[in-house]
Amino acid sequence: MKGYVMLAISIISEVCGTTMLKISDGFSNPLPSFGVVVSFASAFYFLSICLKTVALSLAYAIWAGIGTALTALIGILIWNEPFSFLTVVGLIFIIGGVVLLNMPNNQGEKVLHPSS
Amino acid sequence: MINPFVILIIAVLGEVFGNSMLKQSNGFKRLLPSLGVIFGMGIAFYGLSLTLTAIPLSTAYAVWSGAGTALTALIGVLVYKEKFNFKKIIGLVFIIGGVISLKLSSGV
Repeated sequence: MKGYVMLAISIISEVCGTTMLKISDGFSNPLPSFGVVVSFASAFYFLSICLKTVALSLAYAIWAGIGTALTALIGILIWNEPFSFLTVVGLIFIIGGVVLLNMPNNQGEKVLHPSS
Repeated sequence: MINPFVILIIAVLGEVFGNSMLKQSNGFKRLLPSLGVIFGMGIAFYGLSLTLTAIPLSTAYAVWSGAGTALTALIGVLVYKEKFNFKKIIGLVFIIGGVISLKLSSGV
């Protein structure tokens, strides 16, 4: 359970980071650039703690899937980024693919681990 | 000007390297892999921020994380000889299809 709380904190940090990344304008604004570094340092720190109890494959599938979906939502809602039918289909395919690739198998085999 | 999608590919390669090192670092307890995480992610995020001046955030971030995951899975199959099951093939096809779809919709 503690692992999943860490994962949630990590995802919130990640979405903060992507938002700052957009504002930083290619790392040319100092304050948002600093925000990117702090947010992602926090995201990876909490993800690494989460990995002690949750399998990398499962944690990363959730982290990347939800992070991508939230980031896209923020881009479209806050910056009025253009999106079409193709954009929505593309996002769903990528998130679906990430989750499919990382879901642990019934046999306990994990994509991101060497199956030694 | 370099095509922003080329910079995005470089950012993805940095991400894959950084992620491999993240697991090795064991919660940032080991020094060398920890430095590898910082190096890989530095390239990843600097590249990603440059592409954001030309590609919408929603598109760039999805391509970045999706392609990173697909490459990591491929490395698992090719380098660590993990089994290539039906689910992985479908997952890879989904991601590749999604990236192409986003590339087309971005018009860059």
